[in-house]
This record gives sequence, structure tokens and C-alpha cells, in this order.
Amino acid sequence: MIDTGLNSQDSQEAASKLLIELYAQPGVSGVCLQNGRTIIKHDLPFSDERVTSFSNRVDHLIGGYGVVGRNIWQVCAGFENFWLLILCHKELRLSLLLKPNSDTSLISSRAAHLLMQMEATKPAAPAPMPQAAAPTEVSSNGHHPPVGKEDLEKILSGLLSRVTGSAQAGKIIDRELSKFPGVKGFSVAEANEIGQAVIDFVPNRGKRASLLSEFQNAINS
Amino acid sequence: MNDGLLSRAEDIRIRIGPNREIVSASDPVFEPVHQDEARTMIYEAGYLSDYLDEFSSVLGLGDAKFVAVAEQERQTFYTYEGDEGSSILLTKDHRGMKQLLKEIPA
Repeated sequence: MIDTGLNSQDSQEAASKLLIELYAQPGVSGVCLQNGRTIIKHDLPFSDERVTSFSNRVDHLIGGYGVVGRNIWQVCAGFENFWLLILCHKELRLSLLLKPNSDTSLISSRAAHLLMQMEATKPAAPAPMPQAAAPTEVSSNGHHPPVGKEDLEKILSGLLSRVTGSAQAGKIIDRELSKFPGVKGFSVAEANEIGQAVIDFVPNRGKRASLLSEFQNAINS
Repeated sequence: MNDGLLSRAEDIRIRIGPNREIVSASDPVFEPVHQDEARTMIYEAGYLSDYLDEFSSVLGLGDAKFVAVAEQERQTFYTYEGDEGSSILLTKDHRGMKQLLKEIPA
């Protein structure tokens, strides 16, 4: 088993002990346990770079649901050669590579139990980093910022509603804008940053690039 | 979510064509009040498919055939059939993978 996480040794040892239980289940071919994007333990037969890329995408996938207020606890995907079972509990994600037709119900219940035990042994979260100053209401040259909050919201809603339901689009946009309480306008750079964060939730690269380009045209015009 | 599509039926089925058009669906899907939720589900089919393609490419898993997403009080099951499009089954209860695969053949 390869250790790649940055968590404490105690946490890794606890994870190792708990993961052994999962290997007793027929069909389990590999596991990856992560806290947010940080891998605590994995034994997938791939380079750490590939596993990091995989775990980042897992976190992004689950995070995408969290943004719209949906608390996902399990994703089970079937592929030609393997099944992939992902269990979630708070920030912990446990991905299991299974042989097709494994007893996912049994494995899932064991894995969910393990996640709850892991949560109990998890080290306390580090103190939050100081946040960057919120954008000012009026730009430094004394003029009003060029992009009003309502305009930005309208542009983003129009773009996002092409790829998702308006309620979901609204939640994604609200979440990004709520990071700037009381702010009524943004500089172009700030608006671009917010737009990019919102459009990042569109998973298809081509669609994302096209929406981003349209967004930038709208902001800069 | 209980005031949505699942308030009208125990399960909801949608068949999506290759161009993401609805080929057939349970009656409530066509009610104006549920259009937004249905649209989100169709978007979600693409959202998940893109992630599955990425997982497959990173881990060499082969083509994605299906995915089930479980959350409180509902489960959504998507099957992908290449050029044929995809299918969605939304249920209130959490069904095991074997049962889901019997209900909509992958």
C-alpha cells in the first residue's frame, strides 16, 4: 500500500487497519481514501500522479453536487472492465475498484461504516487561511466598477441555463457571489475570476471553453 | 426534492436520444412545473458521463455503461448506450445495482 497523503501517521495507520477489512470482501481490487483532495491512502496500481488526478476529479464531481445543495453519499459506476464505487461522508471520499458484478450492497455498507470510523479518527482541520480582501464597491480610480453584480448574475444565468436547469444554475451562481457579501460591482478581472469559477462546473471541456469565451466577450464589451 | 417529480410517481423514466432530446418519458416529465427538474436530470446525464470518461481515461476502465447516484430520499440511475443515447431511472428508494440493471438493461 502506498502512502501519499499529508495527514498524520496515526491517521494513516488507522486507515490501513480499516481498509484491510474491505479487502476481505470478494471483488475489491483497489481503494483510494481521500479527505477533500488530499489522499490519505491508496493502493491503486497507477502512478501517484494519475491517482492524484483521479482523486481531484472525484472531489470535483462530489463538490459539484454539494454546491447545489445535494448531499451525495454514493456513486456506483459500471465500466467494461471494472466497477467504481465511491462513498462519501463529509469531506472523506472512499473509491473502490471492484470486479464487475461484485456485491456492491455489502461492500458499500462495510465501506460506509469504515468512513464513519475514519471521520472519528481524523485530525482536527487546520486553522483557515486569512481570506483575500473582498472586492471594493468602488474601484481605486474613484469610478464605479465596470461590472455590476446584477449584470454579472444575468450574464452567467443566461450562459449556464443553456446546460442545466435554471434552479441549479441559480444555486451555482449564488454560491460564488455569496463569497462577496455586500459587494455591488466588480472590476473586469474580478468578474472574470467569478465567471471562471462558475463555468468550471460545466464538466465538458469543449462546452466550458465555448461558454467561457462567450462570457469574456460579454464582460469585456 | 420531494415536491418534485417523485411526488407524482414512485419512479420516473426518461429515454434520451443521441442529441439529448427526450425520446420517451413518464408523464410527469412533460408537466410544465417539472420541466426544470427534468432538464437538470438530462444535464446530469452529460455531467456524469464526462466525469466517467475522465475516470476511464485515467484508470483504464473501458467504456462507461451506467452510473447510480444515491442521495437522501432518491436515487438516480443512468445507462449509456453509445449512439443510441441514454436512459434515466429516478426512484425514491435505493435499489441495489443488480436490481437496477434488470430494470433498464445496460
